Amino acid sequence: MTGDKHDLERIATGIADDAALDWRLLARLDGESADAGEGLRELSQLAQVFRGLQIRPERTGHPRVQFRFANLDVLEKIGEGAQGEVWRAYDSMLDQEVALKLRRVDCDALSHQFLAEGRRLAKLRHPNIVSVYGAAAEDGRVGLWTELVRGRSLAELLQQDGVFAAADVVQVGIELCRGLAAVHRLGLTHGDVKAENVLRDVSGRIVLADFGAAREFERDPGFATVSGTRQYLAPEILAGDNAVPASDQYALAVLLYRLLTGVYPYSGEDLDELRRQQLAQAYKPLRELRPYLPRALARAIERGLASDPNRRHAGVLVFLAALEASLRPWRPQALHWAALAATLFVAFVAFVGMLWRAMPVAEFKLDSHFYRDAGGQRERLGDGAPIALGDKLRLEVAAAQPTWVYVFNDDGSPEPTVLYPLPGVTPGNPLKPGTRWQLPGHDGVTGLSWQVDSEAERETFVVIASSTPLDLVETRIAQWQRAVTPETALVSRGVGRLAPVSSAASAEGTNLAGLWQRLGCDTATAVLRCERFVFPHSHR
Amino acid sequence: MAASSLARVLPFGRRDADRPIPLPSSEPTEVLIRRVRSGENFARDALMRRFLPLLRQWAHGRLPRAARDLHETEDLVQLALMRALRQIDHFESEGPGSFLAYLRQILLNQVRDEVRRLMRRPESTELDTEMADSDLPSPVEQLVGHERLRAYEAALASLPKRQQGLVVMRLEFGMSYPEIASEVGSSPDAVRVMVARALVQLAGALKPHQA
Repeated sequence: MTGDKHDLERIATGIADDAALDWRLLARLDGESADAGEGLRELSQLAQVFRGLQIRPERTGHPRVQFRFANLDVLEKIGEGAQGEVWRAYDSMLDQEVALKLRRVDCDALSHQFLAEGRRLAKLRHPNIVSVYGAAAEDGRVGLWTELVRGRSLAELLQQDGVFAAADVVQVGIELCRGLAAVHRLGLTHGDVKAENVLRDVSGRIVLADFGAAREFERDPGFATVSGTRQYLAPEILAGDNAVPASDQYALAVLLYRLLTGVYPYSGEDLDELRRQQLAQAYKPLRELRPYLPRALARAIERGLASDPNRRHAGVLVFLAALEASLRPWRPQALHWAALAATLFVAFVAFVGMLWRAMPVAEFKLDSHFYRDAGGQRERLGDGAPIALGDKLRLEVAAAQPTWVYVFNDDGSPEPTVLYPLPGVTPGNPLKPGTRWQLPGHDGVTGLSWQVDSEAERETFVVIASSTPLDLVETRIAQWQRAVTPETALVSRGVGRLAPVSSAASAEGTNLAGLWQRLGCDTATAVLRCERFVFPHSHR
Repeated sequence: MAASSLARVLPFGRRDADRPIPLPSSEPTEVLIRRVRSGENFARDALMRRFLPLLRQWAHGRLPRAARDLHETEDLVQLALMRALRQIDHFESEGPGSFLAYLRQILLNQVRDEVRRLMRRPESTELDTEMADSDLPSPVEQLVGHERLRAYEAALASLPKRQQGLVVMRLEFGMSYPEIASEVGSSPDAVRVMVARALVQLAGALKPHQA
């Protein structure tokens, strides 16, 4: 602890000194210190912005203004690629230097689309995504200007320093997952995640750059313009589908694989061969190339490489949870529950309530059932319904009174996983009457569901519902939920058949069992309902 | 004498650590505040000279472009500073450095009032770029986003005034350690440690940026 405190102060001194952030030191922090570390990371970025505003650009020292584009003084060309040119420019509104990416377009519709996307991106401010300040079309050119990131790309780092340490790769992965999650929430995909497009700035921040523009234009002329990055293209894109968030996840997994090994998972010389390799999933397992890699880390990345998008992580936030868990050996269950089949909760109360001693009394009305979204269809899951890998599950709950609902998954670890309520996810407790709530709920932008994405022996779910808040439960949740964020919570596990438990045998962790007893679930009162479900997994 | 010391503070930018400490009037801020309270105009002027350049620079990044283009920054900052000095009896010192945090807060309020005023003014609508959501974002807001700035302000406000002062002086005003040391009556090395501790404190209060 004191060691951590010392580390924190060292990092803070670096921020105060305007030195590069020691992100390896940051990655070592754990628990509360990790939270403070995140705060320091944020402060380091804010400090950079503040400093940027203090330093008035020496206008006289600037290279001559080459030309103007949409109120920018364009200063010098800093890059050129198949997709256009990148210029350093000065934005007098912001009093900052910016990076301006210019492309020639000869199609109105395309430039319109480009501007629309630029405007959407300009609303996004995330530390791990390059900030877009503006977009404009002028004289047959479209331009997008962004913050000017001072740092090196991961491709350069890889070339200069060789393969990355596992902890660094996890850190890169985590930050990119955060950034991508913000992009996906806007309904966009990045479409060009690759080592060349990810920068590590002088503060150690990982920034996903070069986006929007690339994606919109690449679609048009086919694969010719993306030949340099074909190794990052997901199988569904090679098959001709549009990019989806899972395609970004695939590209991220390719990137992390490459950072760890220096090679791409597939090295196909042409697209056909690449596609064959992808479909066969014929990459070398990470642990063959790096035998001492934590197994959980290899698994997390390889899942992202799955050819079938449904077999990848249910979203980048799930990927993030798996990455986070992969380096924490003292929580061996973490990855396990991270893949947790969320489901349940007051499910089937209507059907199986009678199996329980805790019979609901008339005034405590609660109706809930569990269903899955399959191929755009909503299918109610009855007793014994089989669940398969990739299923997306939701729960519908309606109550006749304000109801506090708590849901746990007991996977045999000492601390059960809190499935509900979740920080950052609405609705929270209490659920208001008069509405059919779709759970897990909504993260503010996207409706969420749980995806079945791994197998285990069985799952035990405990659901507690009450017409009053339960202090005891809230206290326990505060203890158990330490590690649960919306990110880690949006995950699921469980394959098999859904079946209500009928035996008295309990495999619950002591804490959950203790809670069950202290609440008096076995002699539940009129305002309290306790349910427990066990789902045996079938192994195919 | 006043003019020469003023000239030494004005060039405000990245400072060399070894540059001599330039605050005008060698008297500590605390002493000057006491003197202002007892009605000494000299002390008032000295405080103005000491803080005006810092605050002007700071306000530059905090005011929306609409205000900056109207060359109102200068007036605004001076006004805020005069107001602060007039109400100096309300200021309760919580240690050296807290006065600057206090000034910053007054100026921040003034900036907010100014933004509200500008938003009511019809001719400002054309200044609003199409990128802006609704209100008039300052450069800082545009650069980091409204939410992040708000989270930072909230975390900063939760610190003791003395620590707020340290953070603000170092990160926002870009003062060098020797300058801060002379402001708080300490040594540069000690200030470096104090700033780092204040930052750790601040980081703990800052909610991690949610993905």
